[in-house]
Amino acid sequence: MPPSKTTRPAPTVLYGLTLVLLAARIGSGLWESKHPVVHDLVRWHSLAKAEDARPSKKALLYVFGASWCEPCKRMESELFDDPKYAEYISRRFVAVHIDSDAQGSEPLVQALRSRYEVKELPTPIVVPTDPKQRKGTQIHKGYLSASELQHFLADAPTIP
Amino acid sequence: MTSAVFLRTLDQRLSERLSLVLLAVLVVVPLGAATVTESLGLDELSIWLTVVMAGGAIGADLSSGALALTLTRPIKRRDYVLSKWLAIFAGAAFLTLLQLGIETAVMALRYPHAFDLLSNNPLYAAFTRLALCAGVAAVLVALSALTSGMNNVILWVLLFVFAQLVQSQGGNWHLPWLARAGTELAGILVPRLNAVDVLRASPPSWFAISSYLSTVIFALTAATVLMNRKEVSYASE
Repeated sequence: MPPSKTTRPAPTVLYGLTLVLLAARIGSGLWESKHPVVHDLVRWHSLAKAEDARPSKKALLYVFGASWCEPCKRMESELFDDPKYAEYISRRFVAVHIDSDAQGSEPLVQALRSRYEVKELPTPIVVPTDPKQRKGTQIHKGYLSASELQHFLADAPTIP
Repeated sequence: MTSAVFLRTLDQRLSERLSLVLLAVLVVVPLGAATVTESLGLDELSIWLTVVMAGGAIGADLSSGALALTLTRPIKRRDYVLSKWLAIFAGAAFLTLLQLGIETAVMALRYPHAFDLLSNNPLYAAFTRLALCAGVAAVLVALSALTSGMNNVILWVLLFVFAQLVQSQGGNWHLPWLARAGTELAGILVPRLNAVDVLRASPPSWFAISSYLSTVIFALTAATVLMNRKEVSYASE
């Protein structure tokens, strides 16, 4: 009599794959926390250099986000991966992306957060570079779709 | 894969009036939005199409006694689980692609300029939506191996709402770790692989890819282990 084949074999291949993929997940997570993948097309400026851009005729665009914030990621992928929007933003704004977690302890970031009362993520803020137009600062709290953000930026008080 | 289980699962779904009505509503009604918006924005509906397809994937067979009959055949339980998953994925993928095809056609007729946007690339949208179908199907099959009847859907919805609450409260209370926990739970319940992370980024986000694959494979492994441990007989029903 041939040996009976079990209908409940241990899923050894699945066990192996699970372990390998979990290890890959942890490893790539650690790697990408230090070397973030850049797939957006916007010309981002560092916060310190953005302050130097004040004499230029471009408005400042601060975008507050965080690595764990799904609405931020969604907004960023919809907008900053799009060549049309990316080109528009790079041309009209000095754009600064701020990671609320990674950069949260920086004094400049803390000052911006308290000045503009950033309590939600994502928060895009448009600040005209001319101090006389300070009242024209625009803040949006929360997710914006691509078309909404386009309107938000189009309404921004940029200096011609 | 066991073709009999695969075909029976599809037949089950497509012969139930409630499932058919729900699927038709989910495919057709939101297409109205496609006539007024200039974007391929129905990604999230792939989740709900999969949820309807996967309701009671294994649990309903258990409750009805069909599982006991099926397992009288020399079918490996691992193959049973994988066949269920593939059938649900195939059904949801077909409906998702059908919806995307109509959505794309409507947009091409009304807003042809909207295809300039990367987010409106139909191939990217198809990739993202198919990944959603495969991921959610795996999670729901795992939950179905854990529960009876349609309880996998109830459990999934409750966990999903809980994850959203944790995520939003983490933001409201300024507790990044709590928001992150909510995000991770939501990511497990709805494994996503955005086309932008894979096809656009250079190099691709290996974290996004391995996170997605590990969640899907873990769900299928858990479902197989749960099925292997399940004692099925008419007497137990």
